[in-house]
Amino acid sequence: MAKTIMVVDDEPDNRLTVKMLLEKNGYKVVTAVNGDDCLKKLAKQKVDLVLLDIMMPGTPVREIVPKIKGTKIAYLTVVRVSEAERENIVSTGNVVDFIQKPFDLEDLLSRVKKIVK
Amino acid sequence: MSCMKLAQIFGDAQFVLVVVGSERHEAAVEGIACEMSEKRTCYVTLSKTRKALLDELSEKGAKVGNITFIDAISKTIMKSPEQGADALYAASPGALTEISMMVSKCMGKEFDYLLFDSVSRVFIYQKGAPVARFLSNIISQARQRGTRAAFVCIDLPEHAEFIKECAMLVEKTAKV
Repeated sequence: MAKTIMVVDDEPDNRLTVKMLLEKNGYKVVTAVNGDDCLKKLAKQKVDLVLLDIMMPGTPVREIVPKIKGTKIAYLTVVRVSEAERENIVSTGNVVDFIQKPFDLEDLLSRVKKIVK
Repeated sequence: MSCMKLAQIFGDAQFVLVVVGSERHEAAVEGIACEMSEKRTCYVTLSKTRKALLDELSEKGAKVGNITFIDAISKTIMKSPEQGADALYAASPGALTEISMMVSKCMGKEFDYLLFDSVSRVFIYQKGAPVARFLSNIISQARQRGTRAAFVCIDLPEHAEFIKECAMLVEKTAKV
């Protein structure tokens, strides 16, 4: 059965690019325009991975993440953090990866595959 | 490093809008920050965490001891960012009132330079009049203290109108 990925990004172009890439590679994709929309949709549908932008209007990501229970999260963001911070972030709770924008499509796909395999 | 030196970027101006292509953004801002760090600098970051900047700028030989950071990123993803005498943490890049108050607090310490990276990140949260008011407020505080300020803006087609609006608030626009 196809794995389901939720793409949460306020930029329509980013959502579309990632959605097309993942669908082309056999994933089912749900999109959300911000953290609040993500939580609303997660209440109705279980997904295997949430690709979450950090800089979005609405409720801050630090308040959204603890509310996402039992689902893996990968940040997908332009924000730059130090190596130590990155390690700390991906070892906390259900955050499993920190993917830097602009990202390479092949690299993104390979990371998603690894996370949801 | 930025191909354009700080002296060229500012010329005789006190307030400059630095418009930079997204592919050159990181290197350009790094170069500007390194040069500014020769003097007392207040660095408002909406792109990288303070810790990331400390690591990168130290590696480039910047005098990071001269820089005070207003970091609007760390708290968006971390509960307890590393504290330091050189650090003020705003809740998010959209917390314009809080950032403005932090700038005000810093301006009391008489900085030579203010670096704001980047105005483009503010556009994610706010557009139009609130951003203009926010920038006017910062400029007015810097003017009173004689601080030279560079506002970085990433040159994206969707920001063209906002870049024009911001350009009206400063004395000079420098494309780097």
